Amino acid sequence: MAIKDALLPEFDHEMATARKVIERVPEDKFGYKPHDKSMTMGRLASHIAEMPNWATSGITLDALDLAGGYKPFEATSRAELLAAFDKSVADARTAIAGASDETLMKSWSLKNGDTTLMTMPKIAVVRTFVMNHVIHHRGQLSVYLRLNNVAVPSIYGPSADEGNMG
Amino acid sequence: MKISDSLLPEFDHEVGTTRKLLERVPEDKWDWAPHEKSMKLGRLACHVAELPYFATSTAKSDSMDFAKGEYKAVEATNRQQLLDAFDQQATDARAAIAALSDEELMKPWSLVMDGKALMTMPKAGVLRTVMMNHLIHHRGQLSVYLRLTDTPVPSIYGPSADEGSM
Repeated sequence: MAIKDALLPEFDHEMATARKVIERVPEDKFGYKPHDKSMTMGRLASHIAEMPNWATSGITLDALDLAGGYKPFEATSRAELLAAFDKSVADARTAIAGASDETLMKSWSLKNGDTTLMTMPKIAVVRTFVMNHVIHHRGQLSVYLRLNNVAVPSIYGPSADEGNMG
Repeated sequence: MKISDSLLPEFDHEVGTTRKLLERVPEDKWDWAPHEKSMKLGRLACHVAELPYFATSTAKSDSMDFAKGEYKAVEATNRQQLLDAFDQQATDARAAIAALSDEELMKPWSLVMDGKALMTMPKAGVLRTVMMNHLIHHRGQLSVYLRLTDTPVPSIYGPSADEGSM
């Protein structure tokens, strides 16, 4: 089985769940944060929305240079958030679907100017920086929703609000 | 490359990060919860620690029956018990993954309640979704719990507000 064929169903499943979670971010709570040191809910949801872009750049380029200027995305409305998420997911899906095993095993580096911060196979960029990283922040966002009394959707099993095991 | 060979480095990396968080769970906040519908901090940490067992289960059997007590919940009441349980679960899971052939990983595994299959998927899907992704999800939630109890949050996929740099 090609790597992409093993990856795509999981990508589709996790991104669909991520959309269910970010769809529920209340528009009047984009500025909410649970602690002084926390990201705001709008920024956290926007971070999830921008993350799949790393799959696209990881597959199509051999390095990402932070010195080139990474601009954190921060949506100001739910429509902007969902549009950005949908575009970044669609682009990432296209990039993954077009990637051969040979491409996915090629190296990719994160750089800051002349300094190489890390190097890994492109498949690891997709797995770790996109999939696992989205799942991590989506988990955080589920707590933000709970703290705002927003119903939490079923993610891997029932939440206290929705879903059941049978 | 064998599927298990591609998974093990990622498993080791995520297990290492997970242990860093579990090491910080404040013992005096075991029963703390951020919301009345939320899991308590101790239960959430135990849930993270018990999830590697799903990998062990796929190597031992083609199903796990909740009703027969085949799901091994971790019921730690202090940090040492929590870490001991996690270390054992992670060690067992790693050995199980390493022993699983590609052929075995394509075989179906079912989560069962009273003889009724709640879900069935290839064993490789259990490792990815029910174990890794599920663990990363709850570890993300745990990172918010740590923040809300003023516990320094370690670097996970990048620097936190407390630690790490790019």
